[in-house]
Amino acid sequence: MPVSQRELYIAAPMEKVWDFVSTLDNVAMCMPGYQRHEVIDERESVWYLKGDVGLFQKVVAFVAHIERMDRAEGLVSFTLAARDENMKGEGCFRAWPEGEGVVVQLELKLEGGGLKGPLVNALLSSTLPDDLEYLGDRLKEVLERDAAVGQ
Amino acid sequence: MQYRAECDVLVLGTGAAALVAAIRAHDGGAQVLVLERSDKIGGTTSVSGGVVWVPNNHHMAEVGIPDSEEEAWTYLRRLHGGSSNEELLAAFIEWGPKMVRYLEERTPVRFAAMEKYPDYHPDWEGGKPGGRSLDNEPFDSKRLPPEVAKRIRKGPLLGPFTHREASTWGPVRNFDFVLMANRVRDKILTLGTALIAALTLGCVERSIPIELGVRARRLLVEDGRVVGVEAEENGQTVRFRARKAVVIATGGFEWNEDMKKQFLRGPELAPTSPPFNEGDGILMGMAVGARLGRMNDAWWMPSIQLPGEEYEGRQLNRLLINERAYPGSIIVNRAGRRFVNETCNYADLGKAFHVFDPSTYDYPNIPAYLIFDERYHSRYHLATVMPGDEMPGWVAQGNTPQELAEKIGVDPAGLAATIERFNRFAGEGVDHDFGRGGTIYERHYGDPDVGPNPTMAPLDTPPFYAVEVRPGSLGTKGGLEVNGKAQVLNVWGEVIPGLYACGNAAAAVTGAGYGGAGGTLGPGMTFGFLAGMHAAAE
Repeated sequence: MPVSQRELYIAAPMEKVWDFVSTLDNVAMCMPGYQRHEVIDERESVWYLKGDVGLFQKVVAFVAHIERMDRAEGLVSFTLAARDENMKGEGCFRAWPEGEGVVVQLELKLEGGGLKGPLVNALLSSTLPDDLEYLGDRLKEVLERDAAVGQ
Repeated sequence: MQYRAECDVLVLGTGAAALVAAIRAHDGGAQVLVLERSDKIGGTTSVSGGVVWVPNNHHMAEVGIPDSEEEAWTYLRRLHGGSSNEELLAAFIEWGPKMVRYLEERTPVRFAAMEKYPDYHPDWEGGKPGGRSLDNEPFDSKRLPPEVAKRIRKGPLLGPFTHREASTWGPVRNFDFVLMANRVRDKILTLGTALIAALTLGCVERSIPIELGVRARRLLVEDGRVVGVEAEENGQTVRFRARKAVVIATGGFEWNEDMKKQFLRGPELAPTSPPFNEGDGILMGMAVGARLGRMNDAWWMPSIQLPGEEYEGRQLNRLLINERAYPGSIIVNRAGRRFVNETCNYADLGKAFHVFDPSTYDYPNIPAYLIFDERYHSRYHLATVMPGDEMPGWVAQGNTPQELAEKIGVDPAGLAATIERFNRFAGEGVDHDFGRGGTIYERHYGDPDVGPNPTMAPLDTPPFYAVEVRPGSLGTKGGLEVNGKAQVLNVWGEVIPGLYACGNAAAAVTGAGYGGAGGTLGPGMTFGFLAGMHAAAE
């Protein structure tokens, strides 16, 4: 399964970071290719993301489901299941205070299944790091901007 | 007048015809400059299968298929049926094989004969069971300078396989997806992208500059001779001087709605090319009095659309090739009736969409639908949906033909009757209505494990499925009329000095017909070769 990981420092209080990432729809809006999302309930939503695997772009609907949310550990994990595509994945945020900010670890896994799985995974392996880079940059930008406004 | 740049031969476009023209003009001693309006190199070729159809090419002997100029003449005369002219065909038959040999001897382009891929009319006199269609060898894009490699247009429609591999594998369940994945990882290109990358390396080796983001708009004419172009670059108007000639190779007009409306024989609703083919070169030629040919025609391709897919900001249109020939599928119109041999070549099939009903004053075969059943789904693919994948929501389904028909707005009784009739034919293996799977070409995309006709099986396993099929095209066929030297003619049939055309910007060399896979690129590259050779000698 193609996996990408990233660790970054966000100059914002732990409480703000937690409040943001524990509402999964905030994360959806920071995903690359975000188009819109629909809230199903407090643990599940549908993310419409325009993906680009280097050949063409496609809007894929992912059902995002929170698997675990542990404030004490600063951990949010979720699964992703594509509608109309043989593709699934999972994501994880882990955050802890450091200095006046927060260190955030991000992990994103996405896997194509079925006959064409190997080909899809080869394409995802080349694009997933860029996707996570974008997600981390967006989270940092939004949270640090909000923190600055709040000061 | 101030010029942004000057050269001997100015080539407009970066498809295979254009790059061959550039290479040949350079080798003829000309200083060459290539302009491309998009930010990628490759044009329509890059997104194509990259097959090059050239009768009597030297690779045919390697696979034991003899050919001759005489056989090529016999086949091509019937193919064009008076819609082309013998000067063009003579040039193609003579220079096509020379062009192939030249590229292989002097550039990184490498071909191999597709011995199992027949002409589109292999049963005609002069037709061949294989060999005239040339496949590209895989190309390692790491051979290109990195800044050039990232500018090669990638094809969104076909996987990183060669046609010879696909012919050997058969239905998609046998495809080697691990091999294809390794090619993605290793940046190995195939098909049209490989052809463009190899030709681009040929340009790099010759230091031929290719300038991207420059859209030629008007020809500059002095004393009746074309001497350059006016172009748009970063919102500015700039001029380029061509001391010897301008070669127009800017593709067709399938993305120009006005030109399609004015010229084409019927609706074209789904171009599969990059959305930059807006007839720029044809319009420029018209403005200086060029004669037009075959403007009503296109390289038709039945196409389907998957919701949410985009290419260059426009809806991506997908080719419908194998799916039409797999057992357990048919194509029907609004009345639920079949209207064409689904396995015939795509260009000729496309013409069946344009049957006009003078009573209802519309096109009864638009929209059309590919209909298939669950047994098909368990064995064959539909676009990105593989056997074993859950059927996506964009595919209509019903537990009976009538229920399916209701959902897609097709006559339920008509569809049920059609399926019942087709199922009888399938048991017999003979399509008494349209002759489906009647030639070796038509059986090529079938399932060899199915008999007696590898393209026919009953649709009898629910649920039944449907997707809309649109009259699309690989590109348009009409354009500037040229002579056997690729020189553009004016409305009186006289040469316009300093102006050449090739590829889909020129009127199709083979007229109304489509000789075989690569029937666009073979003549296109041959006339690119001729354009470059004669332009350099001006």
